[in-house]
Amino acid sequence: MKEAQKIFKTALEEGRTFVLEHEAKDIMKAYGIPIPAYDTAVTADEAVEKSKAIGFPVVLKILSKDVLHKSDAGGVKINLKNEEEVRKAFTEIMDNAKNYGKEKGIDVDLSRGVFISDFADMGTEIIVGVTKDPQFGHALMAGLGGIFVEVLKDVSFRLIPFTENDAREMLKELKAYKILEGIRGEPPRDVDSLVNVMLAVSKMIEENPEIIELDCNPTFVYEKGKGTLVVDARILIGSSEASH
Amino acid sequence: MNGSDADLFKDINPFFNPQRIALIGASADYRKLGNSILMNLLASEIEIFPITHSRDHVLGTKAYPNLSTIPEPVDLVIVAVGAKYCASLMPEIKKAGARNAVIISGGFSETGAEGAVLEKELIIAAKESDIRIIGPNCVGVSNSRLFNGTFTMMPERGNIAFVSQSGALGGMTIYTTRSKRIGMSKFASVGNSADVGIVEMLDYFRQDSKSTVIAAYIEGVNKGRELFEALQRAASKKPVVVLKGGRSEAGGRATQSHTGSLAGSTKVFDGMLRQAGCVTAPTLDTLFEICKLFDYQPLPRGRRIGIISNTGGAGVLATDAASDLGLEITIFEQKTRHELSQVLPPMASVRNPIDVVASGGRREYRIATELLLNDSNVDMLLVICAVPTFAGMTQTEHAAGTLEGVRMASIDKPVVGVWLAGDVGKPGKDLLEMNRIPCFDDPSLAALCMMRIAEYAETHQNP
Repeated sequence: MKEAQKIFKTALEEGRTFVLEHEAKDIMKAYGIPIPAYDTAVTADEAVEKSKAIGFPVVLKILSKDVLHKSDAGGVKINLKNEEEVRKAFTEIMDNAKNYGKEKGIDVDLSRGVFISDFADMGTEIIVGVTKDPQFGHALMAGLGGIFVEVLKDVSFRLIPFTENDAREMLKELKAYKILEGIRGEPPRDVDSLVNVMLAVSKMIEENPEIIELDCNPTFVYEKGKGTLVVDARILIGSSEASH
Repeated sequence: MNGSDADLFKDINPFFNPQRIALIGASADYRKLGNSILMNLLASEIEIFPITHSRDHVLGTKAYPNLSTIPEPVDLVIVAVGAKYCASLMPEIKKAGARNAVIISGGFSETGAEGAVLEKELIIAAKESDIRIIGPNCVGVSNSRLFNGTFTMMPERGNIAFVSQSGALGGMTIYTTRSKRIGMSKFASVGNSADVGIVEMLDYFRQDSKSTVIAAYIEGVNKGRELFEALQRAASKKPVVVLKGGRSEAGGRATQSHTGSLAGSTKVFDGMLRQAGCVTAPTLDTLFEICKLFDYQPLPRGRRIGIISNTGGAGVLATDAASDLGLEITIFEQKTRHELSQVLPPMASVRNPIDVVASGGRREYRIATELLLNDSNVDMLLVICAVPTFAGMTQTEHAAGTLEGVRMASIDKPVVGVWLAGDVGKPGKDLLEMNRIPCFDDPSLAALCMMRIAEYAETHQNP
């Protein structure tokens, strides 16, 4: 995929091994992975205009090569419901980033402004990730988010590439699979659309083996027929091209 | 793929089907491995040429000072001399007519940097002379129909092919499978896998018509993708049951110091095994019990289980174990229940699990077995005998009844026994096992093995 390759080249030229959020979303979009509507803005006025186009509520996040962990830098503002809140959030994010830079003793690059995204409705929280195993190469991980991943380590793996059947089986292996089937009167979740996301990520890694780590976290799965959204995506690349 | 498959088979086959073997390092000293190996080799019908500098005869067999003095060409050479001599033997092995060598000797990469250099030299020398090698640092190979080229026992004759990354564990396993009368077709301990490793063994065993099931003990691998592909190829032809060593972090460390290879992340490894269509064994014992069930019985069409017992308690335990593991406790057809109620006493249960009660003997076991096997809601059958001697019964009559029922049923479905009561149950257990019905001491072990064959059948019948 030319799009992804261009983005990786820019990143490496800037000395980054991570891609910025809008770049990650551009790559996701190129592979047909459903994501909330998004845009970028470098001024408060532009942020307001773009937010209106996306529709409230929105999320604003700092976009800078110097900030990988955006929340730590006070660079994330969610559930912004109107123009005023967006304008205020933009200023705060910029101020926070400057202060974060002072603490770290770096001059944070603010020229890219902010990432704006539709504030997605809460769905069943899923994590889809990719790791590069020293023996087996790229493998995809799936699990239910929150305590299921963090405490119970309820995740399953398949080597990339894998089949649709593999993707379904790896979800069924999860102890928390019953939640996707719908429990306590909840309607079943849209497993088909989640499987499509997993297959698209597999294809992305196959075509871009320099990706060494990827997180679609959180990914929200909605009820059957209503799809899946990858709300946040993180992509890390190796400094030189490497394949399994 | 087919061309290279046939080539690989031809390359590896002399390890298991040689006509003449030379043993370098044959010894009369019972404390040397070269002595144990020679004793094992001499027990076979194959022509053996012991090589030793020190004697004309070893263990009553004419010995030779080197490979160039033996009168006939050999096709397999087993080497049990110091590590530093091994590389220089390769050209001689080639001249002696062999293209296959098993290097039993230790002192290579498993011992550190110096040994690693020796191993590298061995690999280069073997390549130059066009010799395929198994080992170094291994227990050897055996073919239970032909010869024992190891310093451990000959396995019982059977159909399970076993490849082990750990030599000692592989050798020990042969003792335990012998005592359980589990038969193997071929055994290979691959040691440091300097040339031939698990991947090549899997490709060979897959094509070996004498092996119906493959058991593999794997600790760590360097070429993960090749292993995955070999496992997938093999599992598409016959069941492959894998025990992975080095699962915990502590176990992982022991693995690294043990064979010098990486112990990978357990979760990725587990996912890889499932993706390859392999069956996982949680313990060493279950590795061969699962293999035995695959070998003895047909694959089930589904995971619906029928249970027969002569006590309510044992039936309940088996039902709990089976449903915990994901087997389905089936509901019998109306016809089956009706016929059972005609022959069983009123206090018996004609629902799953069937309880023929303690007075039920040969006749009841025969009828219940036949009816359940013919029931279209039953995919497999678990027969339990908890009280083999009740009011004048003989110890084997429940087993005999089960066997008669199996023979009378018109359909081939997997049947597994659980015979409790220790030594009192043993004659019945032996009778079933002799007739290739695996028989366990514990309902939960039986359920685990049945679940594994059901999963394999599901994966490979609807790909």
